Amino acid sequence: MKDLNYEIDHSMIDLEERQNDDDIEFLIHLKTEESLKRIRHIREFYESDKVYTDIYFYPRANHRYQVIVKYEGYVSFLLKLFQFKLLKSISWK
Amino acid sequence: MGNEAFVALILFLLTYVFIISEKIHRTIVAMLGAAFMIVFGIVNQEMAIHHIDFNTLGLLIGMMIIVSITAETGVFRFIAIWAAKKVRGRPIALLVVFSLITAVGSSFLDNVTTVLLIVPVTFSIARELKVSPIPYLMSEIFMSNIGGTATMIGDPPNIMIGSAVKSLSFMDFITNLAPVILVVMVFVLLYLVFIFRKKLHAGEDVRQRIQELNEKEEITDKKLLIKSLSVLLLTIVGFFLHQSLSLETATIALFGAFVLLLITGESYLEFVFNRIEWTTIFFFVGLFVLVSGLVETGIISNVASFSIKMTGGELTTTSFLILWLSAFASAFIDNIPFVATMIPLIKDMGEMGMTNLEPLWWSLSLGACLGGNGLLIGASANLIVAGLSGKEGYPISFVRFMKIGIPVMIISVLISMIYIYLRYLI
Repeated sequence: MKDLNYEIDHSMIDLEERQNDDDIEFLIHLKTEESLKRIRHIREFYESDKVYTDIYFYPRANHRYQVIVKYEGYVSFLLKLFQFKLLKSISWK
Repeated sequence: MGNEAFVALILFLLTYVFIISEKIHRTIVAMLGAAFMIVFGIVNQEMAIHHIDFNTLGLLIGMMIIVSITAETGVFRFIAIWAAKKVRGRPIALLVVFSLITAVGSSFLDNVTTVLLIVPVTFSIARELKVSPIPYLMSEIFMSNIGGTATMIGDPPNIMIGSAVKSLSFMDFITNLAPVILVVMVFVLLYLVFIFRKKLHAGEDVRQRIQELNEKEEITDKKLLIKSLSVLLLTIVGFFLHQSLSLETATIALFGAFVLLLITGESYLEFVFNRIEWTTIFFFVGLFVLVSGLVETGIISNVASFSIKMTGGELTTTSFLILWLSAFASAFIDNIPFVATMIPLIKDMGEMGMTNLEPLWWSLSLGACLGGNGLLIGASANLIVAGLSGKEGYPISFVRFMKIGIPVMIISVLISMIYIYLRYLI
C-alpha cells in the first residue's frame, strides 16, 4: 500500500506483496523454524476470532505461506508481523 | 379430558408456541414449561426425573467432549485440503467431495459441529478458486442433515429413538438407514450439481494454487491427533458392539470422553466443559419433562388411539403418515420436541395392538431428520451456516434456501417412502 513503509527482517522471512482482486496478497518465505513458528502464532490469532473471511492463510510447500488480507485488515496484519519481529520497522510515509 | 390433562396440554402447546416464535431462547422456554408441569402438580419431581432420558444426554455430552478435543488437532482441515487436491480443485468435483466429507462426518459427529469444522475451510478454498462459497455451504447444510440420518449417533432424533427403543442397536440403524441414505445422497447431489453447475467454474491458474497447498501444515498437534483419533475410533467400535457388551451408548461415549481427558491431561478439562453445549442439554431435559406431563395424563395414549382409528391400524398408511408428517413438521419446527412427542405415541400404538413397529421407527427417523432440509429454520445446522455466511457477506435468505431446500426434502422423503414400502411393507 502506497502510504505505508515497512522493512522486512530478511534473516527471518522474504515477503512479496501484490494485489489479488480487491484484496492484498502476501507471499511469505519463512527462512527459519522460528519464523514458521511465529507465522503459526499469527494464524492462530486470526483464526481464533471466528471471522472467516477477513484473512486467509494458505500453507504451501517449502516453508511458504500465501496470505490474502482484505484491504481493511492490511495495516493490522503488517503490525502483527512487526509484533512478532518478522518486520524490523513500520512507518507512515 | 380431565383437568390435569387439560392443563398439561395447554402448557405443552404454549411452550411449543414460544419455541417456534423464537422470541425467548428455546432452552429457557422448555425448562420453564417443565418447571410449570411440576409446579401445577401434573407430574412430581421424582416422576419428572424418571422421564429424563439420561442415555440421550450422556451420549451427547460424551461425543461433544471427544469431538471438541479432536477438532483442535486440525485433522478436519487436513482431510478437506487433501480431498480438494485429489480432485485437482475442480469446483464441481469439490462440491461433491466437500458434501461427502460433511455427510460422513455428520453420520458420526453432531451436525452443527461438522458444519462448523468444514465451513472455515470452505470459505478459504472458495476464495482461492474465486468462486462463490454459497453453493458449497448449502450443499454442506443438506448433506449434514442427510448424513446424520444414517447412524444412531448422527442426529438427535436417532439418538432419542435409539435410546427409547432398546431392541434397536447401533448396527440396526446402519443396516436399515444407511442404504436409503446412500441413495438419497446420490440423487440430492445430482440435483445440487445441476442447480449450481453454472456458478462453479475456475480457471486453470487458480486451480493450480490448490495443488500447491500443504495440508500437512494443518496438523497442529500430532500427539493429540493420535490420542484423539484412537479414542474416537475405539468409541465408534464400542457403539457397534454395544449390545453384545450389554452397555448403553452413553456409557461408551462417556467412557471414551474421560479416557481421552485422562490421556490428554487436565489442561483440557476446563476447555471441553466450556465447549459442551449446555443449552442443548437443558433443552432436552425440559422437553423430556414436558412430554412426561402428556404421557402421565393419558394424552399421548389418546392421540395414539385416535391415530390408529384414523389409519385403521394399517401399517402402510401409518408409516407413510408418520414419514410425511415428521418431514413437514421438522421443516417448520425443531425436530427434537417433535420426536420427543412422537416416541411415546408410537410406543402406545404398540401397546394398542400394532405388532410391527419397526417401519414406524424408521419412518419417524427419516421424516424427522430429512425434513430439516426443507426450510432454513428446519435444523440447527441450517441456521448456523446461514448465520455465518451472512456475517461474512454471503447471505442465504429464507426464500433462497427454501427454493432449493423444499425440492431436496421432497426428493429425499419420496425415496425414503419407496424404500420403506419395498423393504418393510410388502
